[in-house]
Amino acid sequence: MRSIRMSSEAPLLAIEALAIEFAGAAAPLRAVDGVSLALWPGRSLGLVGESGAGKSQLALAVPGLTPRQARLTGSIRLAGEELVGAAPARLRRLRGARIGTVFQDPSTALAPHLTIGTQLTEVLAAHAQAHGAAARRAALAMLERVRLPDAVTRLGQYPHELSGGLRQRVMLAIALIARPALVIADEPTTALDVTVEAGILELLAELVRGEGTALLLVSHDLAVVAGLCDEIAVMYAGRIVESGPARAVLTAPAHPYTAGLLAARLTLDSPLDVPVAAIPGNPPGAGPRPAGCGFAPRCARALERCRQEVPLLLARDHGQVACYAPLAPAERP
Amino acid sequence: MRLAWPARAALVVLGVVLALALLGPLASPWHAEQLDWQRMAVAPGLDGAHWLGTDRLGRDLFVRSLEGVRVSLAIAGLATLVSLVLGVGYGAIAGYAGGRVDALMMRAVDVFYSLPYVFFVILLTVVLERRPATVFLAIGAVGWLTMARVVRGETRRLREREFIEAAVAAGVPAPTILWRHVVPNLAGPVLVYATLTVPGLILLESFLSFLGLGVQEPAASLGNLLAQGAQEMEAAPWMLLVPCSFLIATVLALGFLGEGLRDALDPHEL
Amino acid sequence: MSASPLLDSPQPIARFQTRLQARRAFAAALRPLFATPGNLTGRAPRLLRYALGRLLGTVPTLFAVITLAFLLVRLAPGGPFDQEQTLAPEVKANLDRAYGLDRPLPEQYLRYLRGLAHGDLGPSMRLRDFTVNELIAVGLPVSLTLGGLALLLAVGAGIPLGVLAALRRHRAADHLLMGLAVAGIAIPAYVTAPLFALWFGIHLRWLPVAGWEPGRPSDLVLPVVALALPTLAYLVRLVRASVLEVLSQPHVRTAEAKGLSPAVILLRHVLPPALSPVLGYLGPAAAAILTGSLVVETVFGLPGMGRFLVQGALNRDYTLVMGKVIVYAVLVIGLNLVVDLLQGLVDPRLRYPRRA
Repeated sequence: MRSIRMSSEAPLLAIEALAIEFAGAAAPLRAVDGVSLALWPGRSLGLVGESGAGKSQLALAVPGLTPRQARLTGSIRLAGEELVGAAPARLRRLRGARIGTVFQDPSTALAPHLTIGTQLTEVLAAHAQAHGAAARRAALAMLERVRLPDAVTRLGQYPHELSGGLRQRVMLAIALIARPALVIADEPTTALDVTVEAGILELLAELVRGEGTALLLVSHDLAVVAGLCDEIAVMYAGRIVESGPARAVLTAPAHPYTAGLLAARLTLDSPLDVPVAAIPGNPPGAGPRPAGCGFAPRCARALERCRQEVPLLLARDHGQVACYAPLAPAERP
Repeated sequence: MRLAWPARAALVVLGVVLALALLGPLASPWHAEQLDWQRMAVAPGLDGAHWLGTDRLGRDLFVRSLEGVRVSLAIAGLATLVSLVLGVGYGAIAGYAGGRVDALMMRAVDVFYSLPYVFFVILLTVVLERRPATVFLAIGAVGWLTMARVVRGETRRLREREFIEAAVAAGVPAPTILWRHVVPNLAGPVLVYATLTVPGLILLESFLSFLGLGVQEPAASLGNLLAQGAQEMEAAPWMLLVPCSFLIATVLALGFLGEGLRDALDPHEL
Repeated sequence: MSASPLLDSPQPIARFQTRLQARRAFAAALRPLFATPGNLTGRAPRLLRYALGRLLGTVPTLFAVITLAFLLVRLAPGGPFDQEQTLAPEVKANLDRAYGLDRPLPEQYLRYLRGLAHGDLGPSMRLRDFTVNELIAVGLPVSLTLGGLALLLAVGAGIPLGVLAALRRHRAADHLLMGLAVAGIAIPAYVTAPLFALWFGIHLRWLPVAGWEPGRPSDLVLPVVALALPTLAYLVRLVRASVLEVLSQPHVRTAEAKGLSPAVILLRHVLPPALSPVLGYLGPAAAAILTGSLVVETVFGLPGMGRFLVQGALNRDYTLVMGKVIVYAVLVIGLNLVVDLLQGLVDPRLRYPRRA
């Protein structure tokens, strides 16, 4: 297995000690709390966690799409260029052109009053890549790449005339039409029927691999990430608790939370008479977070130390884990 | 529920205006219809305890304006209540029934909408004679149209929700669903819209009184005080400014309160 | 025999052609805001069919409005000749007969409808020697001019100011505009109109206080401003709320993620959907403004048709009231139709049934 960290190439995306804070009633609320990660060109990274873990905020911070009232500290570098605190005009030129974004729900994320054609060509026009007939041709080609049936007709249609799955294909086309180096996909299949989910994921994989595009995929669904990503980072309460090559994390999790997520999965061959191993307790809410490891209150293995000190993300086996009581290889499911 | 500061300030202003309207007249030695022959059309001051001056008949403007606030608020409040009952009932039924019934009921609203609202109000006041009671009836009879539209739209949105479908699937009769599941969920938008209706109705009442179709002399309402004040404004501007200030304070406060409630109850707003 | 004057002189045709060109240029300028070229023209027949369908749908509404108004007017106690106490009973009976008021109500109704079908609104019952058509022919142009200018002012200032307030949300400019807007809504025209007359006309002597002479635009300034203010103020609030609503929708974030410029996001992604509810308000509001304001026209001494309704209703001048009601209803219905079509242009979901 090739270790990514041995790559001599510089990472396309390097996030260091990133924190995202929102002004709260009493204390500021940290949605993302000191996260570092790196993504190389052509590779894909899956951010996994329960809702509220901060994974969407983290991903949307890269194209500068966090809500206006959020306060960012730390560093986000795209091909060496610092994005935290960059001028809005500069970020705007990167968005769409260098960073494509796929949103969760295509029924609300597409403008209802504009034709599919307009929504595609305006990306090219905004970045001066193509105008007029050339842009239309590029839009048509892009729709064919996302395998939208009847692409010529679709150009003149409105989002409401398409099914949910087709709309998400349009969303993918919008994100990719300007050939960005990085694609951020925020729960791209969560709002879709299970029957179309596989098709969209397959298409997404094909598109990024074919172009050598890097992919940052956000999902609460381990299965989605497992099929698509080279690397996985598991987030809990605003921090990364475990990361590493996808296969290693999924087959031999070291963090009790990752192990819990895996155990809570249902598969077709799960025995019917054994209850699903749910993780006890609830994910942390919007309130102030406890000292120490965020997962400690729900963790069966928690030590006294876990409740006082935040464990650091340290190298272990193939990846990294932030835990004082990690699972030994023999204990892993 | 947290209100933004303008709405909280509006609540305070409204409280002050209401307290003044209820208690203020007790502090003054004058009452609303009493004439002071010695002091006609005097400017605001301490002369004869006419703190905000008198009108041309020597009636105390402080007391009369507060009386006007009381009458106007009462009329607008009752009219809002009338429009609320009519509008919620009509709108909820149309929205819940859907289909042809809905189309027909809303077409009827369209017909009413296509007539100038002053037309209705004037005809109603003419038919019902000019008494304050008929004024609020007339005003309420007009105000329910918009309320019906708001409620109907909201009901149609609710109709799609799972809990209503669950109730339908469980065989709950339609009137029960309407009363138990739909109407309580309309409370938010209806409350907001009602708060925004009251100032509009105060203005309508004052317009009617201005035309001489509303509250009749010697009774006071903000409308007929303004109408008299407007005639005297060159020589005695306070006759216009005093009731006008009360009107603006009340309407402004209600307006900001409505906006604040809308913001607080609207899930779209952060 | 020569052909029609229209064909004889080249002028009207030339004017028509320049107007057509101007309209085409305008449409072409607007097109990139809404859609890619081609699909507008491709959809025109469907749009036209939709428009015709809606137009036909207004006929029963108008008919219902006329019937309802007729009934309401006649149900009010009293008649047009009651207040003239000097009238001998025989004279009154003669008058009633002359105006057909002695006939049964259904017959009067049918008669009225028959006149209406020929565009005849009947004679005024109080302003003798005048037909309602004549009164409207004098009053309507005045009210339309006044109202049209006021509407232009309200829309031209209200929409940009509302957008500005939304974009500067919770900052000084927003608070200032909202304060002014609420005050503008709260202060009725019968207060602002005399105040304007007093301050600008009498105190500062900048503008004439009252009167109406065709071709003297300074006559119009004060009444237009007084008439426009409440609508302007309401528009500022409505536009602000509507723009904020659209700004919070996910598709605007998509537009941001595309790297579009703020101007394009505002003009193409935010404004068209945000203006849809604004149009819905403007339809009826425009009808009310265009048919004249009693207060403004009275204060500034303008011979519009604002007073027709109240005066007619109080005097039981049945035909005059009906005339005004019909003009108003036609305007409301017509403007609502225009608004519907414009909304369909902005929101394609309103145009065709949703595909399953």
